[in-house]
Amino acid sequence: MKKKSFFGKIILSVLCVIAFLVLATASDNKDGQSSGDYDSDPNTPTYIDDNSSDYSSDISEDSRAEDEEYYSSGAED
Amino acid sequence: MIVATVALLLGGSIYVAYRAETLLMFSWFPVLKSWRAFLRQHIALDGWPEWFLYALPDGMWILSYLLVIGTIWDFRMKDCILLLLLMPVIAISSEILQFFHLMHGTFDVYDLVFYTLFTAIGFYTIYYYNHQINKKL
Repeated sequence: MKKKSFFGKIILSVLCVIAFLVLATASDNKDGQSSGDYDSDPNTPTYIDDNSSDYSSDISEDSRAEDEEYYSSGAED
Repeated sequence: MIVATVALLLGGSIYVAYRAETLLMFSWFPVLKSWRAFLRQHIALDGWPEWFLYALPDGMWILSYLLVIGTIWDFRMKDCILLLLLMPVIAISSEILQFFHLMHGTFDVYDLVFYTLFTAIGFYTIYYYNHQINKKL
């Protein structure tokens, strides 16, 4: 009886080890990468240029200045 | 066993809620996606420290393993010491191997700390219950 109980414990332990190893494996990424790769939103751009609007405004101001210069010089004629 | 289950569920929930959906578990157990959506709806994602989100679940996993094995063997540490050591050794050695780039994955010092800490907690709990059982006999 005691022996049977011992084997029962062994079987339960092996099942437990397998279950916990499955859990550990399931926490890996599909591409084989480590689970240390944290969550990220695929819609979020990886690089955000905070000054991009400033650049565009600079460009538009520059081009406006050039246009004014161009037209004032009478080049349209 | 209850503490082990709670630890596993708590750690598992943190893991499911904050990790990317590319984890194998989401394709193996599609129901986890619904659980993830539910958790993300009801719990704020911001403001948690990194160790809470990424290392605590690992610690909970180890603790849960130790308590389950301890319960199976009636907290007789001598009878199950090899089984108890198996998972912490795998976890800690894999983390050390990651540090030396001998294994794929990212080394995280918090993971190592939490594996060690929760292994110690697990062993102490088993020792404590073993002591209490021996006292009663």
